[in-house]
Amino acid sequence: MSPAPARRRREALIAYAFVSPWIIGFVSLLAIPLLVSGYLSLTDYELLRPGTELVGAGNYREAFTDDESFRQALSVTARFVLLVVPLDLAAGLGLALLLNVGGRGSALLRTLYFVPVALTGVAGSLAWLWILEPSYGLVNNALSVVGVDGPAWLVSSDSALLGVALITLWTSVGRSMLITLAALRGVPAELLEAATVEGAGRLRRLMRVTLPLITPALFFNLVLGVITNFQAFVQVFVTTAGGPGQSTLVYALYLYRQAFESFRLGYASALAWILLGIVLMFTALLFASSRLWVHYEAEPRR
Amino acid sequence: MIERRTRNRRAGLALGWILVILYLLPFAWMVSSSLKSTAEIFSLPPTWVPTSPRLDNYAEATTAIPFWRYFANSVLVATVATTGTVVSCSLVAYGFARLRARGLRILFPVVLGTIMLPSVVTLVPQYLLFRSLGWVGTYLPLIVPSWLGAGLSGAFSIFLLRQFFLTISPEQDEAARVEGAGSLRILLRVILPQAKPALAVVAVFDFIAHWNDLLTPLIYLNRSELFTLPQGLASFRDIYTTQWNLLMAGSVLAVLPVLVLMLLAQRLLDRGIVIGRS
Repeated sequence: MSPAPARRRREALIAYAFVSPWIIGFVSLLAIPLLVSGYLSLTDYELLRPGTELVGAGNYREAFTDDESFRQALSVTARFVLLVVPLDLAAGLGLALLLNVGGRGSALLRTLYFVPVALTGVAGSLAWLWILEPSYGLVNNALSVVGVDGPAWLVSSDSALLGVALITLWTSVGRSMLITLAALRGVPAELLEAATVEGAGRLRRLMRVTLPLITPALFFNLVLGVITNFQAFVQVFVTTAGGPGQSTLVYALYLYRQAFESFRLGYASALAWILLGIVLMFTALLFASSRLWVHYEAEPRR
Repeated sequence: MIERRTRNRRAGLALGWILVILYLLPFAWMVSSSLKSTAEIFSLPPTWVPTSPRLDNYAEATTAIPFWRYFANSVLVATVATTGTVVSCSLVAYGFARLRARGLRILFPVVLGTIMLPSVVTLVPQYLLFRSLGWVGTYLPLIVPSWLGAGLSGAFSIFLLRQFFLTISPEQDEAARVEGAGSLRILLRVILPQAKPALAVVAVFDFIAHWNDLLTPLIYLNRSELFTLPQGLASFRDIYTTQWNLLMAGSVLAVLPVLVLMLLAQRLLDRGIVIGRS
């Protein structure tokens, strides 16, 4: 017996009523701003200067041909993402596998690994500014104990990006570990036992049963990692402010400066859309590749 | 065979403990530095345990800048924003999980898609929007989006909650409906009480995000009385450039609330994440 159309309509209305906060938020804070920023990117709008004109692709042209800082920002950010994301994934996976053994105290251990996530942001970045201090900080002193001369980290343009990457990794590994661990726990024990019965050793069980089953979580970490780190901002703003010599000028910082220090809102909008384009391309590539290596459970409507 | 598993387990755990100590060394260093005198901070080789711990650093750090005002501001913003996220995302997730309507099936992937939208794209137009509303210089741009499921972790929270709601068996829903309960009452009386782990995860993640957020306050708050703690700390750094002991004291204080929150929610954090199921 199917419900009468009137009742179904009422149910639909109620459903939309519940979802309405998101709809309002989406339209007013996402969809419309997205369109507006697209429009602005085609103008030379500056907040503090009257008289705005349409410049079409002018901003985009300026970015790619005239703006050295833009190219530098792209290069820095690309290198940063390529450095941080694979390491974050690998470390998260490694730790999750390690902590998946369970046993006494493993819950406490898990929480402890998550502690640094609390230090994302200014406080953690300040701490790492001190930790990476070339002469008195923890890292270089620890390195000198094993006879290694540590680099100048955030003070030198050769190593500053590495320093920023280190800070980022330290605060993000806990999160990817948690997500990977949650997925590991979802691996049905029966499958592992069946594999053991068939004589599969630990490595083979890992490669043939566990890893394929957690690829959705790994994929999730990968995509989220790329998107988040393309927009890295705070750790750079607090520690190096893009320097020394623009060696840590991440894209988000450059955009922020164009928008809220130079108030070139039209140009900044173009920069934002360029980033959007890059991230979308990257994401599309990742999704396309996912068919090759991500194993989804049977989904009802696909 | 069981013996080997226990041995492996113990070895794994041992390694895990060794690694975590290494992993948390920076944090220990931060705390230790916060208790040192300026002279001891710059001594080589560095000491781990301060020779004479100075709690004065904390007093100095909290008086050099209006620390507790910034702290209170952050508490206000983060609490109100997180409440908004929990409320609005519960409503929305419930709509997606339990209620049926044409079009909802198409909308949910859109929600997921917004997780992947780089937020920098909406930065400028949102600024212009809030500016035209006269909200620049107030806390409204920091708080209102969360009440529309569009806060710092809005879409992700909706996703998490919906996934969790889907795992709650609909029997109790139906029983309540037979007794005449409306959808809202079912949400409040049946679903939410069973969803505490997921709600805790959402609340903790969202609170941490708002507590640590620098970008939004940087853009919208121009009067220093309104600064949140991240902003305050950043300005602190400008004043006390190399007085690391004071900077560390301030940072430790800034981080404590989040740590406490995480420890309290520890048990719920694991249970609340349900991924990999549609």
